[in-house]
Amino acid sequence: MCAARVIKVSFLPMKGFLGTGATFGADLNLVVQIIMGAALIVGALLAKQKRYRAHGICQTTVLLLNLLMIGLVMGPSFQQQVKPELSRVFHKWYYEAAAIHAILGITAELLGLYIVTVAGTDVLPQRLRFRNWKWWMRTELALWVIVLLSGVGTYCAWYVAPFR
Amino acid sequence: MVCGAIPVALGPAKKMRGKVKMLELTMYGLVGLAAMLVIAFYFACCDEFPSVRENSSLHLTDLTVQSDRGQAKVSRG
Repeated sequence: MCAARVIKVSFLPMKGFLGTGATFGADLNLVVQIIMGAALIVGALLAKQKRYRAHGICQTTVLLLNLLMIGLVMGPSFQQQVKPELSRVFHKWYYEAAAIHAILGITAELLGLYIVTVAGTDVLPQRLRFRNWKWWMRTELALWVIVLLSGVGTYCAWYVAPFR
Repeated sequence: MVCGAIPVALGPAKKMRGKVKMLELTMYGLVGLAAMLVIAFYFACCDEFPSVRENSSLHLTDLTVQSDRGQAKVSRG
């Protein structure tokens, strides 16, 4: 009974709406991630126009929303489908794509949280704070775009390629 | 002629302000849409997510006490 519940939770067995083999949760996550990626790019343009308050609100909200999506969709999915098999079958593309995406994603999320903490609060001591704002934020945006692309790649490896 | 010069001077600034305003609106729209989707997803699928802990540790402790009492009875008997 417990195993059945775990499988039910990990796959969220509602049919997706993008016409692939994905679940509803995976499809919605993909759409939300693309929207959030677009919002981040618009947020970066706002920083270029010196609208720093709007820029901060945008990037922080996206970061927190992404944290929610990690907790609701990607984390449980990785925990149930990838982690138990990771040591045995890492060479398979199905697991490899998800593992690479997870490593890059966690790095981007943690880096984002660090940047938001430095930019928005005085919690961190002076020696842990950076001054080169542009470099850090551009690095984060570039990493986020790479993570988004690797996420689309994972989606294809999981839900598009096996159903062809 | 002076009046004619004013719109020429203000034009680019006004255009820039409009562009920034549009960027801001786009950003709030995208973030709002993403937030609504995440919230809708959570409410649609909240039954599917596991609760943090199905049995509270307090309840488990109660069970342990009960089973200990049972064992005590058995040993007495």
